[in-house]
Amino acid sequence: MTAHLQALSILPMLPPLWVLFQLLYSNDVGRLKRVDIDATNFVDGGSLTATSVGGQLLVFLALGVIGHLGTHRLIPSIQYYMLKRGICGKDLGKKGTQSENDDM
Amino acid sequence: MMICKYSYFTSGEHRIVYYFAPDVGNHTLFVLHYFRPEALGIVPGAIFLICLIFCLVGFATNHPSKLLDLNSALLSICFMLFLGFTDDVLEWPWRYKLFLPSVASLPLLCCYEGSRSVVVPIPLRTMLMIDGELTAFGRFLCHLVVVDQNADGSIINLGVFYLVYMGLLAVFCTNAINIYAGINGLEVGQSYVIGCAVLYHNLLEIQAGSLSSQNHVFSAMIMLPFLGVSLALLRHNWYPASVFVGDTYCYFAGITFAAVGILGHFSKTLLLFFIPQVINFLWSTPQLFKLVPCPKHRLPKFNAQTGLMEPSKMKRGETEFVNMTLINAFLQIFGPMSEQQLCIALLAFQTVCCMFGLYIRYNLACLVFDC
Repeated sequence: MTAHLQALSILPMLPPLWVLFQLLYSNDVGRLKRVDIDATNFVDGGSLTATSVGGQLLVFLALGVIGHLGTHRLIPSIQYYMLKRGICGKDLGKKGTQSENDDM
Repeated sequence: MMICKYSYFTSGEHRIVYYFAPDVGNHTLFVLHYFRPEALGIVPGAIFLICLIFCLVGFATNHPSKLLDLNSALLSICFMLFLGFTDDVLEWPWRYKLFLPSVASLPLLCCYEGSRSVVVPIPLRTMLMIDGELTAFGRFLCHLVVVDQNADGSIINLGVFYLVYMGLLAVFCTNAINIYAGINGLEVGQSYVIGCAVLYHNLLEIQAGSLSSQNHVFSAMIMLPFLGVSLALLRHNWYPASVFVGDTYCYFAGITFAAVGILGHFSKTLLLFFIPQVINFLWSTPQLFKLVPCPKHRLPKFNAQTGLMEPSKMKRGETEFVNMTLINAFLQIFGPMSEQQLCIALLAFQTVCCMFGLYIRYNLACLVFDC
């Protein structure tokens, strides 16, 4: 995947990231408190603070980033085992082309 | 010493040749480059499950009532990941592929505690009630479901039929992604775009402080790790793909969307993000239900001379017709194009459809429902 395509792949993620940024840095605490009032219905023996929803979302975002890095690193290792076990398929879209013989 | 191993797929035409050369130290593996490793969806699936287990520790200990939801989502996703991987290895017949996702959705349905009612669109309410009285159709409907007469027929409680609908949603989500596939990057790309739309919807609802905010926080918790692992897989599966995602990823992505749609209580909104998949399914129906012949693979044909993808054709008697998929329809409308261009065009279409879905959800819905 080339650099400009990698940049293109980030495009669909921009609107949710923008809303997430707004949620984290919004001064409209009243709105967040409304969320927390609902959230307290689910909590036993404690209440969430105004920033906890944003904090939770940040943790989930961090997990997403870790998951991304882990998957990106693991795929090249695991693909070797898949080939070794014969779990592979034919790329019908490259039959008869130079890229058919490209190294993996 | 050199060991050769020959392996055959069910069709018998695919041959893989392994050459092990133990004398060079570590076993060296040479494979004909015509083949690409398959079922790599197992890697993002496994990493995603690890992320979700960490979420289980952090999120669910603060929200005990959500523990059941998270466990049922984990169980369903685990089951479908297992089914997808076994399908890649064993190639299950179609009847199992339809039956098993509905079994996988049972844990989600068992812990569903939301409303089983649907709001009737304003123009259709006169079909159920006029001047406070049930119409003939309304009385007939009352034998199957509960029409809320206090609300002037604006609400119908579907009861068990709502659970059936959600079970079918899980079957649809898993198979819809699986049949809208076949070119490098499309399976992961479409799931990534849909995932972004779902996350955007969740965050908008949280920002607006809607009554179901906690359900949307739960959905965002599942979607963020899903998007992370999917984007990593897309980097390897993008044209020219070094790995194939297999049915493993298609089923994993499908059941993940079904889980957030059901447990996040926005199953109808979720369907708005599946517009290309719905079009592809409807267009494919004659071939899927064997009304017209259906080959094993319906993916577009590659023309090695031009380097472009062309619509694949199927013979019926002496006549030829194009295989009925959205990908082939795209090639018929816009003409032959390279695999990468085709994938970008289809993903752009997916993005436009998701934006349209969001527009319907937040703007057009007010035209037919009470806002």
